[in-house]
Amino acid sequence: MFEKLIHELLRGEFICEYRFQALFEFLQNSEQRSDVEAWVERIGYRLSRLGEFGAFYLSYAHVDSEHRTAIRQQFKEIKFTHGPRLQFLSLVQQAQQDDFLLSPGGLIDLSRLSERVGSNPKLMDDHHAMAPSLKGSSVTASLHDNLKRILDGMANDGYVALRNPEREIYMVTGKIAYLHEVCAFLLDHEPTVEREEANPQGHFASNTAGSTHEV
Amino acid sequence: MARSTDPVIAYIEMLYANRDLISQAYHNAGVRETAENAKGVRALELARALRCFEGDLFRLTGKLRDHLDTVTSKLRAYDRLTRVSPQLERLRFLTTAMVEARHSGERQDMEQMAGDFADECFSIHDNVHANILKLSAQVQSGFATAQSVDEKIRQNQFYLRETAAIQDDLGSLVAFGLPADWQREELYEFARMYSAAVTEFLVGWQVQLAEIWKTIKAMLFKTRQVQVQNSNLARVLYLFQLHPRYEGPEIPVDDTSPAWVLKIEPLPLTAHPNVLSGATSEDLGAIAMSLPARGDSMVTPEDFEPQALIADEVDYTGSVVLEPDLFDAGLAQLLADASTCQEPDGVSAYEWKATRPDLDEIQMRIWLQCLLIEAENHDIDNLAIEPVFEEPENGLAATRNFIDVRMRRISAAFPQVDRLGR
Repeated sequence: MFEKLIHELLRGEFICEYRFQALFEFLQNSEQRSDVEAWVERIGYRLSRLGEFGAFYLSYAHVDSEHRTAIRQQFKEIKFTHGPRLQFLSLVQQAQQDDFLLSPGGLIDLSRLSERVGSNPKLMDDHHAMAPSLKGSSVTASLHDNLKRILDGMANDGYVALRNPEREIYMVTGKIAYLHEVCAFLLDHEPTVEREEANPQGHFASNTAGSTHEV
Repeated sequence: MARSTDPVIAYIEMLYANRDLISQAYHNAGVRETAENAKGVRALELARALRCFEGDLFRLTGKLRDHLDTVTSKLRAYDRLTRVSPQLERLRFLTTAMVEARHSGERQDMEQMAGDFADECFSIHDNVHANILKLSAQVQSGFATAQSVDEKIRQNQFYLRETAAIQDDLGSLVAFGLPADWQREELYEFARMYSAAVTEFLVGWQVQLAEIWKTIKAMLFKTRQVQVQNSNLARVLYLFQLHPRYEGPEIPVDDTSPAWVLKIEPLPLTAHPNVLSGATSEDLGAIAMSLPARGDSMVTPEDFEPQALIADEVDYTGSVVLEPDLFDAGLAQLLADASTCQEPDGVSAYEWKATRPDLDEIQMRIWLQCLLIEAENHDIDNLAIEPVFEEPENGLAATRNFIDVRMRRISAAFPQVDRLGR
């Protein structure tokens, strides 16, 4: 278990209860976690965690000039890397009308998603606009196939996991908290973006807290 | 009232006109057809709201029943829980009345009051117990029933209010003191009943209530977190929309930066199969050397396909890796073992395979059949391959069960005779 865990961590994976349940439980044991922490420290890493109860991952223990350059490069590409992904997740949330969807454990039903996006011209337009930038996406006649490719791409990146292949249900993993941290971090350093600015556009208004759905 | 031309409205009006029958069928698991309701029952049956179950008994169709279940369960979830304060008031009244009856010597009234007191005590027990169980079940399944933040907030408020009410009830039960004069003979029985039905359970109820508070706290935290996250997501998307060439914040990166900023890049842990790839390095080579051998493989030029075009972006290597089939690998190993076997009976293919878990993917029956086919189609030097049949019980069976294949070395001094006696 220890060996497998180290391999997954070095692969850059986020160890959460929804994707790597056994490894996550392994890390719940404080002694075993200490062993892992001690091991990764010896190679210049540290075991970090998303929030208090979230997924585990590896980060650099110390930042040298090489890492600094790489991180700066990540910042430069942050919009390119995360923008389409965030747009897609926002679209899924709107389509499924579930404010709690983008939390670890949230379920994405591909058939329902395809049906809702297909029957809503605005969501369809949003999908067409973002699809070319998304990993795995391709222009196909079938909306269902295209959404499946995008979700498979997201699964490949570790943000969702295919929970029920027969019914094509995907589950949001603990790595989603990483995107939330990225968002919070960007907004902390871009104070000029006010919530009020988003609403007049109408484009993102349905994402914001307090969106109303009929009970 | 004129009938609507809209079929949906007409349908709903028909349901409304027969609402009592639908309600009766839902709550009583069916409705019996009588002379008075025959018209309504027929109309509902034609509208596929009712179906004949047995004789004159009609039941709601599954879909309508499920729909009503869904709708009413949501309403039931917000039902207020039963409070115990009126029952406590009744206990106080009974205590006073008991003392008065004692003074006036009304023996019959005293017995009646003792019975009422016991009923109230057990009724309080049942109500509090049921309230805690119901609230606990609702809280545990809380996030499954709310899809919007607004609904969740409403739910949280409901749970907070109800849990606080149960907390008050428990407080009242604790404060329901046993007066000193309860020690007197006629009230001692009251004290015993109250203790058996209520006091003994108070600690357990308080522990359960503490668990409910803990869950509610977690739900409140998650609701707030989701509110903030959804808001952040919208704001970041707006930021990207405002600044199409956004390149991240200008901030120093050092050891104090958030951990996610310092997340490591994935390390390549498996050797790249294409040696032309720039990812191949000495380290990767060392890792590849440490991997266990996977058996023989062979690289052959890929077959030329006339008129087949390969897209520019395809990484064309011009070769494919062929690996031996599992059966071929097993056969080669078995032949090698059989060739060196010194036993006069040779090797049992059945027993040999049973010791090889790597061949478990091949079914035993198929394995044995394929061995015989292989022996018939190819000359296998120095080995005799013979089927082994199960001995018939009575010696007269028309068919024989094929159970094994035996492989023996053929000695040059004793030429082997084949199965046909040649």
